[in-house]
Amino acid sequence: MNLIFGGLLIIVIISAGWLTILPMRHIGLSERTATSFVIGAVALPFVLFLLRSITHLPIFGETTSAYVLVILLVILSIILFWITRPWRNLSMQAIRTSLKTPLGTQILIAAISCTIIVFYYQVVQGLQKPIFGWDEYSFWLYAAKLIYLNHGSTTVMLHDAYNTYPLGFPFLVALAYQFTGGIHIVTAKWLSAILTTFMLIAMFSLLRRLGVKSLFALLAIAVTVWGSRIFLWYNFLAFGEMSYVDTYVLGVFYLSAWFYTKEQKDLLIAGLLLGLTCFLRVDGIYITLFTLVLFLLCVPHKERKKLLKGHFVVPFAALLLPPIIIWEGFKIFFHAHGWTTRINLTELSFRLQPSFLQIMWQAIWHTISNVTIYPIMVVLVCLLLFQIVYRTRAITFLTLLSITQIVYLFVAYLTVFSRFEAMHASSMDRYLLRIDPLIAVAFIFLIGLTPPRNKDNAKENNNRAYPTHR
Amino acid sequence: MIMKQRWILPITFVAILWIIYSAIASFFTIGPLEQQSLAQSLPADHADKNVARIIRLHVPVNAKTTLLYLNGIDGGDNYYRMRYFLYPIHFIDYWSWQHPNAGGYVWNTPRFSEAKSLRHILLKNHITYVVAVRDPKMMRLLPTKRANQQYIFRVNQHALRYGQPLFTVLQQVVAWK
Repeated sequence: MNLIFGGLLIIVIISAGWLTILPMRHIGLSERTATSFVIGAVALPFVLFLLRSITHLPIFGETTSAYVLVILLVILSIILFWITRPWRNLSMQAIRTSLKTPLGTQILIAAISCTIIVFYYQVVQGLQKPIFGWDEYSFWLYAAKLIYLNHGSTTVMLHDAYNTYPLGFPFLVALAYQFTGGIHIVTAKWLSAILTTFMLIAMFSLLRRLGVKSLFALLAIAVTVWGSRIFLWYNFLAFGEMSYVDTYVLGVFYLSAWFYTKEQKDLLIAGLLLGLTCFLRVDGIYITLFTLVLFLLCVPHKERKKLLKGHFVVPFAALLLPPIIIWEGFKIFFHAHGWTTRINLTELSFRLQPSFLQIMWQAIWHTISNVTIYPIMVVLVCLLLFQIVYRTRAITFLTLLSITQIVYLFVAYLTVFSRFEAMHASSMDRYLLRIDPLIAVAFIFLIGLTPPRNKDNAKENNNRAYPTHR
Repeated sequence: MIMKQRWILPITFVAILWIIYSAIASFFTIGPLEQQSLAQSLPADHADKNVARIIRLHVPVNAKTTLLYLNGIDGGDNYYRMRYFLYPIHFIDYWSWQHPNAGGYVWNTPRFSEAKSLRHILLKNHITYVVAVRDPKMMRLLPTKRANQQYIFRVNQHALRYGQPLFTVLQQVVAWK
């Protein structure tokens, strides 16, 4: 029974995202479906949040309006899929071409697929064990429980110490409770694993669209999931983080895809995803800001001028800003002030002393240099070295973004975290989790998007998008 | 300049070999990691459930009950888990982003070790029950209390409003080890 309602929930989430990216006609079915899920998993809770704020209807729990809402959502998604009929363009061509690949490549593909299956085996094993995360993540579930029991109340968390934490994930979990009919911690764990799966599928099909061969696209997934052990770990240990990681990372992929496709619609999807991340994490707005700034810095001068003109900026802002404006407005309206700097000048000057900085750097270095847990760091070092000789803008963007995330965390240690947390480099693994897929994709760009040696090959592959060089 | 074709094959092979190694190794490494995590989280979870059970026995479980849950060194570590178990009891957050709890140093602030400020907190938030787990500094203010005991106190609102000493204000409901 839970399986059926879980399936319905997935369909409803996909249709919410589907509706949002309906005008982006350039993407294929699998990429559209997967991206739709990642978008819908934040957009639908966001719409429900708005609906409740405006109407005060009881949208969750055992009430008539909640049941009506669920039935309405299911019917609307079926109608939406019937109108758009995504299956009519399906053809067997993709399968036929995949059969032509040489035997050696097929064996390698099989090997990589096996490692991905092992990953999922381990995740499903972990999902069934009662492992608890940390306080912040218990907060997510506490918030979800409260929101569900209070029929979707948006103000119920206002008296909490974490009252400025955006309600995206708790609302999603509450929606899942509504569909599965009960409050279970394991629901949130499953949600996070499914979300990661759809992110990986979206990443795979996006790379395929850019002209990366299936072998390399699969390799991107494998490098992502095995790049840091905690990727596996976090799916069931710190599920609250995963929704942010998946949404943010996919947004960055669409940004970097633009370097190859020069398709402005890719940027619009990226804007949508990056805007939605601000409804998932308390500091999402800062991360979105520096991601976009870094992207603009990596764009060639001519193109930058084109992008900064009104006919692109207006739709981009229209997709990026709603979650930011509404959540910030909500906080101002209810005078919620929690997450902010609590460090004064004396504390800051204490932390800037070499002795303290050294302890901090050592803690950070101990985490990063632990190659058994974070093998992806080896790839990052390789990418940095390759930057000296082999440079493309997309790879430079992703590599710089990875470094910037670490620098951002360092600044946060100086200004926001408590002294204890700064000294122990806590939360570091969450930031490494976020940059791990970015490094994996940059690596695949490096080895998978190289133009062929001679003209014959070039003719053969003339539908591929080539990297732009400096 | 971009990557040369002849580099790609060896790099791909190395990457695939490393991934296969990780996948195989995961069968040996994930088990101990999970056991380690379970060994850390299960006793804490068990202890919390036990405390929650005792609180449920002695404190009325409804939204009118306001609780100050002082859980010693852990600060907020399993705070939300307790709130999760004990919903709808209303918890008063004694810490915030401005008064952080990480590492437990909130207990060293005078807010919880001076009678005056503790009285202020009790009065301001209309606290009806105080749960003190694992010997917070507040216990020094109460002459008869022993270390390593866990307590539930009922707050005598009348005594509190008339400024009587703290050991009259906080009436012990139950103590356990």
